Amino acid sequence: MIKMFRGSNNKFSENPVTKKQIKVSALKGNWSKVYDFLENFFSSVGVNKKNSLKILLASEEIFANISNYAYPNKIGEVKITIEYSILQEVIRVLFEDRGIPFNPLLIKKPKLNLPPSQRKIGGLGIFMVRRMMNSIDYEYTEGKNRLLITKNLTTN
Amino acid sequence: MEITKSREGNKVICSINGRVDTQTAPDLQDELHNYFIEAENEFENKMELILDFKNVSYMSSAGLRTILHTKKKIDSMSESSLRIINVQAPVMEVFDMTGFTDFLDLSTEEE
Repeated sequence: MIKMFRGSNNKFSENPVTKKQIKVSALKGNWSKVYDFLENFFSSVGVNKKNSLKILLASEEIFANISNYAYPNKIGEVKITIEYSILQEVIRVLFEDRGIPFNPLLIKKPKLNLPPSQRKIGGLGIFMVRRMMNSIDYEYTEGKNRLLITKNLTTN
Repeated sequence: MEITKSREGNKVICSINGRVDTQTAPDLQDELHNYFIEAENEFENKMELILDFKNVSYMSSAGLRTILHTKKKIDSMSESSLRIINVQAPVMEVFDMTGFTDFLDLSTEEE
């Protein structure tokens, strides 16, 4: 089961899980591949449409961030591990890359009440992840960025 | 994502079919960019732009980026407008949670 060193939502350990993994180059053009991988997983374990949409959106924001910023001068890889914990009814998606250390949790909350002329898109993605998932954990360890997003399927 | 364009005078309807995401949003932006060039050349920068979202069930912040860019451009033109019609509930939720509903002219399906 996916574990984070500092993760506070990962106290449980003995639960049965269904797990799958994909490794792709961190390129925006690979998003549809990741989308299909995640969507297939959700339908195989029976996640409803509403929840799968939220996890897909959150995953896209993370994937796009890694594709845009993790490897400025080369093409690197991102490993995505998805896990469904049956007893807890929780989906976890872990993103790992060996790019430059970057903690997206430090991104400031965007101002949402500005007119379009003063609006910026920066920070909206991570804001959306926070809104759609139950938790986000980040750590940099052994040369890797590890970002874990968790969705409790019993809440909306 | 597929885009179908129809035009009556300076009213341009852009119907989008598929996901507007990190992979496809740049294509939408390119398409809309062409409309702006057309508006400049053919109808004095006056354009009534309608985005038909009837067949869009998924939009991420990459889509928002394109929409914001388009809205700013429209606002800089005189007598031009942007409307997004037939917005499905999950997409409306994205517009809503990011405050885009405050400044966009949005309508839901079959309103």
